[in-house]
Amino acid sequence: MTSVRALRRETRLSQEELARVMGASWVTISRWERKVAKPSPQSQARLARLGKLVERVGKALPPGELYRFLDTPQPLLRGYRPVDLLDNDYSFQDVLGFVESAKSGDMT
Amino acid sequence: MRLGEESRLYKAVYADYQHDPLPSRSSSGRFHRADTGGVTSYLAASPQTAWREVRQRWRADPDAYRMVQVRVKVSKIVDLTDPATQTRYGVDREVLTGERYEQCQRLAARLRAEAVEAAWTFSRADSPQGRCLVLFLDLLAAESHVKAEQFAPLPADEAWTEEI
Repeated sequence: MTSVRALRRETRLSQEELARVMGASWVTISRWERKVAKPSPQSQARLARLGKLVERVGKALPPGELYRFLDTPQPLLRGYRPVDLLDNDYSFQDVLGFVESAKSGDMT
Repeated sequence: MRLGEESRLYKAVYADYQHDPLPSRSSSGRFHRADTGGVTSYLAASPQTAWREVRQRWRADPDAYRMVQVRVKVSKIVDLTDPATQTRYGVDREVLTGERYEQCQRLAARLRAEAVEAAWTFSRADSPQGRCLVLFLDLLAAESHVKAEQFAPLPADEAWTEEI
C-alpha cells in the first residue's frame, strides 16, 4: 500500500493540496498519515496512480509545481485536469501519455 | 530544408532521455498513434520553438531538459505549410494546429502509406512563425540520415526561458 506520508513528502504537496487531489478532507489525510484510518480500496488505487505519476514526472517539473500541473485544465487532455483522470486506469493512461509527450519534447 | 539537403533542427528533451532522444515515448501524439505503428520524432526549426513546444504542455524545469541538435537529411519530404500541399491532403492551418489530433493522425497514416519520410508543419506552440518537422524514423531511406549530435543545457538566461 502507498505510504501517504512518503507520497506527500515526495510530492511536496501540503495536506490541503493532497486532500483536494484525493477528494477528501485534510483531516482524513492526517488520519491516513497517522494510520488512525485506512484509505478505502478506491482511495488506495488513486494514491497508487498518483505515486506512479510522480515517478513518471521525475524531475521534469520544478519543486512545488506538481500541484499546479495536477489542478490545471489541459486542452490536450480534452480540457480535463490531470487530477480528474486519476479515477481509473483507462483515463490515467492519457495522463501518462501526456507526461511522456512532454518529456519527449513532442510537438503539441 | 530542401530535398537532399542537410539541416540542423532542435528538440528539447528530458535529460534522462538524452541517450536516445529522438523517438516520442508517448503512445499517441499529433502525428502518431499506437495502432498505426512506426516510430515518430518531432523536431523544431529553432531552439526557441522546441522549448515552446514543451512549455505549451507544462511549466517544465529548464534544468531537467537538454536541447538536442539534430542533423537531418531526408529524401522524401512534404511541406504541409504550403497551400498547394494542404489542398492535396485536405488540411489547413487550423487542422494542423488544432486541439484535436484525429485528422492529423489520419494524415500521418496517409503519409506513411506514401512512404513519406518527413513533413514540415506549423508549430502550435510558437505561432505563427514556428515550424516543426515530423519524422517517420522507421521509413527513412538508405540515403537519408538523422543524427542527434549535440546535447546542451538550456540557456541559463532566465529571460530566454521565462519569456517562452
